[in-house]
Amino acid sequence: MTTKERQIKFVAEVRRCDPIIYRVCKLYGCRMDESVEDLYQEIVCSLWESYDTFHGDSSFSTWVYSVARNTAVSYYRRHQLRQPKVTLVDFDHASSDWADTSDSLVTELYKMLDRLNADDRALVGLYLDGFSSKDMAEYTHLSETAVRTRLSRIKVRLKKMNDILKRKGEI
Amino acid sequence: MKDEELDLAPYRRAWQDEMERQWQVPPRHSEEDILAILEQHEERRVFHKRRQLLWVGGIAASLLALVTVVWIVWFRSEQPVAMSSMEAQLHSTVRSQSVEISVSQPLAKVSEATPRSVRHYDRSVSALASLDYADVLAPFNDAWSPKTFEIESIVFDSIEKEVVLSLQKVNARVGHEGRQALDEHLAADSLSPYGKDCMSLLKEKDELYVSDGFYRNIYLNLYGGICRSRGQGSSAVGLTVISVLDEKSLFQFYSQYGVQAIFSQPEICQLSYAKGVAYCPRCFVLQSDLGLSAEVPTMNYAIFFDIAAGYHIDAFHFGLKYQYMFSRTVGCNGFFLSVGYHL
Repeated sequence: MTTKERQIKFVAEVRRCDPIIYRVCKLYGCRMDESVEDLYQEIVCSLWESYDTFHGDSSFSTWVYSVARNTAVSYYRRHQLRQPKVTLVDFDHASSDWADTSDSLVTELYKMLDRLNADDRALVGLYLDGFSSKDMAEYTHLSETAVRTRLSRIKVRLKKMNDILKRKGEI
Repeated sequence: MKDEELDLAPYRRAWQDEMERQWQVPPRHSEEDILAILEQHEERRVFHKRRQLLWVGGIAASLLALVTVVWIVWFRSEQPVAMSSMEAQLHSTVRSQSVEISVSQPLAKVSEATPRSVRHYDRSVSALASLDYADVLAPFNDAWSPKTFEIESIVFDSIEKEVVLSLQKVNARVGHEGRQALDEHLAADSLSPYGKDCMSLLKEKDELYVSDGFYRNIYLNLYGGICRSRGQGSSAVGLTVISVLDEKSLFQFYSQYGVQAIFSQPEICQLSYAKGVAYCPRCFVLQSDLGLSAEVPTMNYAIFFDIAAGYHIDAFHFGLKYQYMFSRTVGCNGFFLSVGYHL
């Protein structure tokens, strides 16, 4: 298969996985649309670079999701210092662009995630994806204890956010 | 009281369901979009690879040039003339009989002559070749033997070095003052008759003032180095043509025309023109210039300032310079190593 043919095949397969890549970008990436697009491009490039290593041991979509998530975590690590920290003080001013889901719980989740900083959002993302504390520690370069402690603190903050949002009638 | 945590379990299930659902959403990017991303990625990859190669090449070339300069300037210039035992014996013979030909004093300084000083005055050697030195060999007629050639060489070499040492004294002062010094030196009895002949001949030919490459009119200077361009690290190479306007005084004024390419922005080259001044204490040159640079193809302009130190070996010039460019857009400053050749 020539490079051009491989590229065409790759593009068609990646395009099928486009929504999930985009969703990963939204979760792990940044708040700004242009940053989401940057991350999307970085993920596509990573996929293309490691396309040769895909031997069909898992489904293509699983492999895409795995590469996308790894790239997104690396991306967030690189950019975390540039991320604006959103605290409860900023709460009223934070905007949400996650309203493209029909599930109310997911909408709620997005609204809360939107108010977390990139570090915390990535950690919650890993938790939501079903990773164990050990795996999360590996991804975030923290100890397992630190991961558990941090996740616990995030859950406390999320609880407070949740209460405020409920009081305001936003959820 | 322990703060209450949000139970994320229901959110986690909803999230995972949502992920499943997202597979059904139509793609936001077209095939053309993805192909464009890959194309850009390939361009970036090639660009970074080329830039890496240029950096590595630039650093390697700079190191090589630096090592060469250090070797030539420091190591070789410090090496005294090596003499074989036979040469030493012949020198001794010359020295023992030299009183008759009045070259004993300069010969005593032969060991001080270094390859550097000999090379500096290589043109005076060619002038010496035209002299008739048969009389010098007369005292050695008794020893005229299969060793004739070596003796001849040594004697000739001795006279050459005498002249070299004398030239060093004279050339400590150049220009009009140097000419006066030369006249004084010729009038004094410190030189052998043959040394005087050589000096007179050199004076007639004005060789004293063109014996060093720096005094020649034009030289090409190729330089390369590391600079910061528009806030990013970069490497650059350039070529300048330097024409010396005043070649007879202690300070040389010159014009410089150049072109420089900056590798972090391969589309850009800079054309420059500068006027400069150099101080030349015979071998180690300090120079600085002020010039204008135009960026092609955007035609932005910049003013730049260079300060440089260099060393001359025969027709070659080795230098290190610092350049600072004042410009809103071009902005480049850094260190460059250069090799020049006198035409």
